[in-house]
Amino acid sequence: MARIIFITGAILLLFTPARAEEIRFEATVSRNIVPLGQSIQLNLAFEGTKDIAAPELADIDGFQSRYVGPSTMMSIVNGRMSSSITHVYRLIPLKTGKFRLGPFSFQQKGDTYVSNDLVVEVLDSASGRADAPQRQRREAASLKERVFLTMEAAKDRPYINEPIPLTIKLYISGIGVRDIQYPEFSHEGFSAEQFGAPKQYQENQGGRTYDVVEFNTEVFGTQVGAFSLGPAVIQANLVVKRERRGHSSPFDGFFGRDPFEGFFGGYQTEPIELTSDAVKLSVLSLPEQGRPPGFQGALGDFDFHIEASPRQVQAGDPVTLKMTVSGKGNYTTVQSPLVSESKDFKVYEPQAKQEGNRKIFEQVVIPLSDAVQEIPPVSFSFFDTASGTYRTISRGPVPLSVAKPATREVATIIESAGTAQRTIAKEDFGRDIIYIKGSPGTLRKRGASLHTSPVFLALHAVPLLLLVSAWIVQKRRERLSTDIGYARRLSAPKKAGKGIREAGRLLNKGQPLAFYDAVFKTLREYLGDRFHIASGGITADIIDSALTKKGVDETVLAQLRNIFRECDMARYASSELGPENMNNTLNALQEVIDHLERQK
Amino acid sequence: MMHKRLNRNIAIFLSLWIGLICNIAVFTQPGSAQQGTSGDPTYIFYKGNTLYEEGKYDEAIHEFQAVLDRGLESGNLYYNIGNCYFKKGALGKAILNYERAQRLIPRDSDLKSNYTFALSRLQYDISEKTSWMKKVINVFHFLSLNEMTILLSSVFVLLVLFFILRLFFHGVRKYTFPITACLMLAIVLLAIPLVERVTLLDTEAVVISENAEVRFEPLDNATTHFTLYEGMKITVLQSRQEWARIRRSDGKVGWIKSGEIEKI
Repeated sequence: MARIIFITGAILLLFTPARAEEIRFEATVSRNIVPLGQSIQLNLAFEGTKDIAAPELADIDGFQSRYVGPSTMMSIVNGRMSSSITHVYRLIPLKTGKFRLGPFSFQQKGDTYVSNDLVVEVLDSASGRADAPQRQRREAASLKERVFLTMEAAKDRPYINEPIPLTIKLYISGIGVRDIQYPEFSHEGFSAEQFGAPKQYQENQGGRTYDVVEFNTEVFGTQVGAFSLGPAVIQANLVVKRERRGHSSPFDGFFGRDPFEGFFGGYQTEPIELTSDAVKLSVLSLPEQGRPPGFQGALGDFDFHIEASPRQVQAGDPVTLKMTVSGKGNYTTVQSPLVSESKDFKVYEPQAKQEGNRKIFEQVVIPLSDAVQEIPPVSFSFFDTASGTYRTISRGPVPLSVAKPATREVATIIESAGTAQRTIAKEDFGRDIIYIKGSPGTLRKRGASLHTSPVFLALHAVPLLLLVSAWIVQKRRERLSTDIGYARRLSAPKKAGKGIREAGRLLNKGQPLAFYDAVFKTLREYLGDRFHIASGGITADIIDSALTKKGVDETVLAQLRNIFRECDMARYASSELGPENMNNTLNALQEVIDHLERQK
Repeated sequence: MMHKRLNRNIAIFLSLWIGLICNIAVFTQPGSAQQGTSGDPTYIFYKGNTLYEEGKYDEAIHEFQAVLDRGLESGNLYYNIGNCYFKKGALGKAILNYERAQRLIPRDSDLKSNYTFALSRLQYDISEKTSWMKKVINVFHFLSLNEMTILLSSVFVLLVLFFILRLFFHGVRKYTFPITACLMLAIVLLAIPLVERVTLLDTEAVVISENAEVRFEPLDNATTHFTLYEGMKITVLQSRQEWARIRRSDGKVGWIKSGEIEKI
């Protein structure tokens, strides 16, 4: 009955709109002094309600902020029920100094809530402790000096459509940066190519050695005038040291720092967005002076060749004229050189294809009579951006040997013989079919349809497989975040493996005391994680009661007891235990863990 | 910001998908080694064009046929063959080749014009029974078979992508019903005409002889049931040695000599 009343009360409270005067808004941080490279937690707590959305944090000077999530709480004190919601943010310091956070204000349903303010001091990471405030100021402190982005264009006054190499460099020094994305930059007035594979090297700048990741691309101006390129933005993850939890590990007192902390999340990644300066460019138009008549907009430094095949034909036979433009420049501006139709030649539309640093135009020309002796010269004009002048390359004439067309045995065709005799339902004067197509279009294998292609059909398994994998990943993630027992159980053998290796190392070094400490700690952690019981509560005495219930074999229990006993003994009389004993203990530990791992 | 990137990723995946499929679709291009020589299909094609211009339609057809014999085809090629037959006065073969071209370049305006013109020269006038299924198929007439396949495949990929997104982004889940319903509807609407068109692939034929008698039985002395005229499109229901059981557009069924029709 009491429970029902409690639940009803709780539900009523959930749906009762809280009044402004009953709500208290308080801001707290996990600590007020933080070294650079670590993060702190900012809690914005609203007491007296559970119904407040996460406030949007304005830019906080010196910090990058990220919303972690809410946590709600309901408590009954002296018969009075109260509820609260705390919105948690993670703050990553960007530079050293003293910073004032807040007061934060938040508006909801016309009411304004204002919190207290806070002061946080950011120290240099190398001298994060209070005993070295002098040194920390001498050393370069700001995160911006350790990781930053630059953008450079090879030319600041390019011509319109001229390709300009663009270099974006990410400098990293003494800090972990992972998951670097390709840069993005605004390029209004420019067309940008895709980035190639980034280069990596080291560079010294201002006495500091940087690891440099260099991204290269080409841009070209599409409009005349002054434009700004960038700023470039890169998304990446910064590896920062995880803040130590408030409560101490049960092993801290006995063994010093918990050895698993570093292994199990001493570091974590925080997303970071790096921005470079923008680059100002003036895009020039092409000069009118000296522009050749055949100029079609090509920009760069090119060479031009032509060849024709076959060179011995009959009048009316097609000749393929292959025109190759090679060199450096913007190939999107390169158009086919003009071969005009004349009384001697019939000319078809050229077909263009690009192969690396050359563009090939193939044009079919048909000599119409045997009087034709050559294909006239062909010119290609372009603007040389290096010298700022127009240039024209002329090739040809190409000699041709054209014979008279051979007389073929022509079948006698009576024009529209079939249709003439028929009664035509409708007569259309002045109407005829449209002329034939000049090019063959896309030639493909006869009867080859996509729906019969096994490769095409098989490809559809790819998205399905992706879906199944995504589902598995998501289920596992959900379970890991909600089922602590499962998460511990999963991590147990890995942690134990590391402990055993550490113990093996100590055994080789001949440090019995440290060896037994490691064995003891490994076993205690393993059993805790494996059977989801508090590690601190495991001693040789309670193994029986705890593990017998879990269905562990008596022989294994005996082995466990034996290991714990040896560990105890080592603390008081380590000299009695020689390398052989240590070896046996290690083997026994390995066996027990193997056995328990095999057991379901 | 995240949504922007997400949209971009979806766009990239889809365009990659379509790009990949298009690559499979265009199975072959004439080999560059033979460029400009007498074995090159493009060269043969141009030679055919030159012959057409000289009015040598039979020789032009012979050249174009040589390209087909090399196992290659294109909409433009069938179109030019159709033109050759039309000029020769063989309306049936002209329509047959225009039909073939239409399967590859359905939106070509020259082709549409010539096809309609060729049909207008025919002498028959038989009312067609248009089923609702035919109407649905005709809605997608402007797409070739491969284009329809790519479209259907892309909608399928979108649906799967949506389900993947739904797993990771809880905000998307409220749109599950409308999006799934729309995409499923799109799949059904595309799949029906696609299946119908695939089944028609090997059954549609055009009458190539001037007058063809359709009989009640596959026998030379059987009674004539009805007549077919050159250029008529019919459906082949069954083939037996030199006879084929066919259905005319008005629903009448009978047997015809296989040589008098040609499959599209």
